[in-house]
Amino acid sequence: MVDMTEIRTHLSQFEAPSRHLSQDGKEAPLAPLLPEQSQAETRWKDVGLPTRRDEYWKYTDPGVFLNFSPQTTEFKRENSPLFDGDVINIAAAAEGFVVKDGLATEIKIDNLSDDKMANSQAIRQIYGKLESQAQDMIPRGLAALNTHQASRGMVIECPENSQATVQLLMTDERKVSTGSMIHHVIDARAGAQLTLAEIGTQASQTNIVYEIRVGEGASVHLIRAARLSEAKSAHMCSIFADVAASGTFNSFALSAWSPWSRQEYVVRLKEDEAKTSLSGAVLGREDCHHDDMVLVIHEGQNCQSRQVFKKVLRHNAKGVFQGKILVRQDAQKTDGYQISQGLLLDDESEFCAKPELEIYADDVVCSHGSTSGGVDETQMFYLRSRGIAENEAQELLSMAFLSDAIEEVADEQVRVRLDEWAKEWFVEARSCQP
Amino acid sequence: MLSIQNLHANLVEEDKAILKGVNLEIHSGEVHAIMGPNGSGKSTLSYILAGRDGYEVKAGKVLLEGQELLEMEPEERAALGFFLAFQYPVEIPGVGNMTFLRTALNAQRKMRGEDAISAADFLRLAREKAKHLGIGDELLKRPVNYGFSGGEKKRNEILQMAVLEPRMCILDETDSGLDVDAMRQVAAGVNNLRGKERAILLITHYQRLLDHIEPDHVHIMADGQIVESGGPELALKIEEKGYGFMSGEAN
Ligand SMILES: Nc1ncnc2c1ncn2[C@@H]1O[C@H](COP(=O)(O)OP(=O)(O)OP(=O)(O)O)[C@@H](O)[C@H]1O
Ligand SMILES: [Mg+2]
Repeated sequence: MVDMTEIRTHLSQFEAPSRHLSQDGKEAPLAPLLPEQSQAETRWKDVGLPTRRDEYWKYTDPGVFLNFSPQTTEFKRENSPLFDGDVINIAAAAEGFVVKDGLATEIKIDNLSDDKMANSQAIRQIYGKLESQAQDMIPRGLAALNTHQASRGMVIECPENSQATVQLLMTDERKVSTGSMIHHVIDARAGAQLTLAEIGTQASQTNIVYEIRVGEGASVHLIRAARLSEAKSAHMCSIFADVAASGTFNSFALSAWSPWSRQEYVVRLKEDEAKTSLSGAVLGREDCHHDDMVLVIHEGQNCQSRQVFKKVLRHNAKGVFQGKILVRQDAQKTDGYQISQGLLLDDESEFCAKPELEIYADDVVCSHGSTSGGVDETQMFYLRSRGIAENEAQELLSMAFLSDAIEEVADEQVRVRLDEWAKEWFVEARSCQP
Repeated sequence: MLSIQNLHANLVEEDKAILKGVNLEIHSGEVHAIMGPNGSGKSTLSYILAGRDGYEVKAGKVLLEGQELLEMEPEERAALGFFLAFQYPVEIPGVGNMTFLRTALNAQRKMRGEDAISAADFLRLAREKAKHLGIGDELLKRPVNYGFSGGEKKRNEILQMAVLEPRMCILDETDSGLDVDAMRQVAAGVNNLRGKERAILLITHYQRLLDHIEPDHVHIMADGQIVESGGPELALKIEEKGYGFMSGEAN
């Protein structure tokens, strides 16, 4: 049962969906744009909003997100995107997204709030579908709520064998006083290759959903990195991906500047030879809380999955990782790998991990490991004996620790940037030791 | 240069005395060698000088160029010109050898109030020094000592020494595990650094190294003390007769 008062309070934290406003700015009765949105309403009313009692919210208090008071935040321009190339403004820019691209000539990018989108093939076949099918195993009320209420998002359609690099970033300084619910839909048809980077945040509170369909032999690489200092913020992101035969879905996230974040991944390797790599590098300080929750479902044969999550924690920061590899009965020759590690730079910090394997096929190779501990004292001494000061030695070892996760990113230029950003974090952390 | 006076030290964990009154004077321009049976405390002495945790100094003091060495952090000792080539160099996966070396060099320069070296200048310097030690580009690019062979690790220690140009160098069994060519290259590297403004202390078991780097003084360490000192002939005597010929103390 859902508590409607709680939901109304929660929703009041977010910007009013633009299409729900009548001409004179008054709130019009809710009239969802897409039929899928009304169905989602039934869904979240069914599963409810998360509570501390939910199995997958044991280490993370959903109350922090549900009762967050959005801050008026001044967002700065992101001057150094992950990729080089010219900025082009497209329709979506008006809604707060700007796409910076090098190659995105062939693909179609639209905005969800555009009326004509309701009839697009990508929307009809994907919107709400991937989120909905993920609900059967673990309730994901916040994602359903997003499907119902999202006011904007990108719809990216990649035709067969197209290639594109797209960046979502902010090029304007903006003041934002409410939270944002954003729903992106990505349709990569057979053989298409898309690299999508989401850089920076849209608001102090965000509930973002990605629904990604990866066609046969297609590949989608998603990179998310919010490089903005926010004193108070809460970011929730749910990523749903379906991968067809020989398709690849890779995702990397750098979570460093936000005090509270939770990423949920549900990746379904539906057909043979599909692949996924999900990785995350977390840098947490001053009571930060970063949670990654992963579900990889092997359905096809000969599929490969990797999960690599690394969290550097200090000053009472908490890192959470819950990751599951689920291998269905027919998914023979599955190769599943999972590693999650916490590097604790002091005694106050904490890393909680819950690795899970659920295997119904008999011919599979799956491994998982999780560790938590401080820096290696012998390595520290070796570095210091060469003249490297203690904090710098610690940074070197922390960067080395993160490198396994960053290595999962295929593009070298992006890896170098991500490395630089992580180093910036250490420089900032140095100047504000508590 | 280095003055070790009546140094007594224990292992913290076991409360076991390892060094039992070490005295040693090393002057600029000199090369000393310490030999001695396994477990006599040679590496322990070098670790304590470098500032490793886990030892408790019970008595005595150490001066490096007149400054109290034992009071300093390991990185301060390095900036002052102290260098230890480890008996067991440490592997650091994820940290590039070049990044490590440049960070170290710049950290030392900064502590001494000097400007940082540019990436390009550093690359030139490191390549040049590496060439003389038979270290190829591939090894420079790999993570620090990670997956290096035993000999490669030892060469890498000497590369660090060549780049950092310390004034007081201690080489703890750098010769063990080296092939004939490596021995020659390493010895040449050390001899290159030999000079009026520097001092070198070799810890070794074998005369072989001392054939290439002739020491001015040779000391025998046994059970946590220097029990005998002499010239290069002392090493030859050990090589020939073992430690048995010395007084009971040494065994
Ligand atoms: N961490 C430790 N725990 C227990 N004993 C130790 C530890 N470190 C050193 N020792 C002991 O201290 C003594 C001196 O060791 P050290 O390594 O200094 O000898 P060494 O002279 O360098 O020997 P070698 O020639 O074999 O290298 C040995 O008996 C050794 O077992
Ligand atoms: Mg030794």
